[in-house]
Amino acid sequence: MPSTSRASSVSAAPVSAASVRPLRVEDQDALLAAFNGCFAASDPGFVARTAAEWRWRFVQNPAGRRATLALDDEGAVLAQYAGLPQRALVEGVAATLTQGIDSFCVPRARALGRRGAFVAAGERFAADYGGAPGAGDPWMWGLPVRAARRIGERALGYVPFRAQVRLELAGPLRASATDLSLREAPWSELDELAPELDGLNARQAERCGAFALRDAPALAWRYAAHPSRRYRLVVATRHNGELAGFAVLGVGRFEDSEGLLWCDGLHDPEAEPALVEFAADLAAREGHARLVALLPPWCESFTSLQGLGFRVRGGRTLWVGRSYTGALPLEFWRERWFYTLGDTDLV
Amino acid sequence: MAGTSDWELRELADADVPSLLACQRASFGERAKTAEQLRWAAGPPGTSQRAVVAVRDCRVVAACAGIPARTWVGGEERTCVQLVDLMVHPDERGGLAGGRLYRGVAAAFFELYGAQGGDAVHYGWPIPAARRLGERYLEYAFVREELVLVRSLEGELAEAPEAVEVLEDFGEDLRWLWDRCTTDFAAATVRDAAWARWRFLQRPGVDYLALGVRRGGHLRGLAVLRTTAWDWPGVLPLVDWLVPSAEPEVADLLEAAVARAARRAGAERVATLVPPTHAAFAGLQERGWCARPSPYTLFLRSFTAGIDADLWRDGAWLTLADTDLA
Repeated sequence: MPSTSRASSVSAAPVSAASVRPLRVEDQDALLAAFNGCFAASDPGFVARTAAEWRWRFVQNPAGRRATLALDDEGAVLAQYAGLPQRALVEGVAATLTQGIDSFCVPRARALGRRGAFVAAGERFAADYGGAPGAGDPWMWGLPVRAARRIGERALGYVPFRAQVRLELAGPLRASATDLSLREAPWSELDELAPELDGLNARQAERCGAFALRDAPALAWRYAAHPSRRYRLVVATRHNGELAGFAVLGVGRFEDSEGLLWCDGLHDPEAEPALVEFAADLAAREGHARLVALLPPWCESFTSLQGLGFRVRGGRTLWVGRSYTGALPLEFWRERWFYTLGDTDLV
Repeated sequence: MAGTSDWELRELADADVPSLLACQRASFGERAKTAEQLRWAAGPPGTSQRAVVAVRDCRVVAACAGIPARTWVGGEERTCVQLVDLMVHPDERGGLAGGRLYRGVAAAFFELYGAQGGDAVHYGWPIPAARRLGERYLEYAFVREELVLVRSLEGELAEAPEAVEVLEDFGEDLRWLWDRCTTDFAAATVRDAAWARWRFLQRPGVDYLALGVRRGGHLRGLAVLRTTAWDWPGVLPLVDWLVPSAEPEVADLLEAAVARAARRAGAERVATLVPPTHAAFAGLQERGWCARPSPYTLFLRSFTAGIDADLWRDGAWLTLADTDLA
């Protein structure tokens, strides 16, 4: 759903898709050429997607691959509709949730007012991958650019459900004393932490209706193996050595805010002030103007972080989603689905 | 206006009012409007009634009504309407006919006042069931989930600033203040004396306390607190807030006075609604207000190219004073 490129107009009659099918690994070169050409034409600041980044997203993701291509009769890529799947727990049941990303349509295949290659790919994507848990992905979501959102609302079942708000800590932290131990841990420690991460995930499942698992394989792929970004893992442990929480931090920009990004984390309630204090100290030491986090407004931390000094800032990005099961309508996802910045491909 | 062989759709006429009130009582119970409230909800001076009824056998069986407001948007003054009462009599609900009646009365309203009448947008905060129907059948566009700002009144409060005065009435300087604030807005209800008298002095059954800061004889900031008990126990709503974003010292004075006045009125907390993209949202947080999720979701139906949900989300100034919620 996000980042879809549809810039520029077309003078000739649009090319129709001769075939629509799932992405294959051997499509890499043709897909990347079309993807990079399309986004470069509409975004002067666009940095070309490398083969390593593409493979990280579409080949190495432990949750699998979600991508559909529309091709012309010579096999050239006209459009892609793609997503990043995440293994998740939904009401305690294993499921896969998918964030729409990297979807595009080359200019010669755009069909104003008609069903074009992009919509054809999107419809096939929904048919192939959407469904109730067990049969498909029950929730697909994204942060599309405005033009893509309008096409999606018209033709692909997108429903806007949230205007983005973020949390920023730019002033002093109102922290409290802690008896937890905090340290930055190497990513290589994930395997050792795995059992305790499973415990944190189990406790998180009791606090929300749905969330993507933050277990060792997911964190290893999302953060440790990221081909171009570097992240830091912070762990909070009790005196008995038990894991009380973790946070993933990275440097970057989110909407208008540049600073230290609270990309991810799960924690028991008592670990939150300690983890935030550690992150705020790190931000101050390294000269970052602010600490930035993203959380759904319904969750406890959205309120408790404000108690520590974070402020809520409105943004202009609109979240859209599509539920594929009547048993879990949009309201469920809006009110019970937990996410952080790291669930998106924006950081 | 069109209808079916079953019912006639038409603008609300004086003769329909008793039956409309009965339909309100059947639909909303104790939240039904009185005749006096219905007259007030026809809108402030300079606007005209927005109400369509479906009538069968001289009986109102469904209605759609809104509160119009003179609104500065897109560089000109237009009428925008808050949808407040879209209802079908309980006896008529259910089945295909009930759904057709609901959609029919709403569609007639949009056609009469929006498509034909020139209203720029119709907007509102529908309950979930109405929201789903609106999105599916009535072209409602999502604007945002509202976050409310809440301030606890526990603990020490700043002294009531002497520079803040209680406004017993509104004068021309309100419009002057509003004009100064419009540089921050892409759209906003015109806040002048006539509007403020209608909204805060003439609303039946609800009392407000208007607080102002004057300097050099001119109104520099306005805050309006509802003093009649509200739906949220222990909470009084700060209904309106009009302070130029470049004058934080005025905001400081008014905010402190609001907190004092709310505590004096027995509240434990105050709550307000301002757009999250506006400087006031950040400014109030610096003064101790915290953002909380709310049950309200803002939707809009546009009748004007370029005046749409994106513009409303990015730059419309909406407070509780622009709603019938407080």
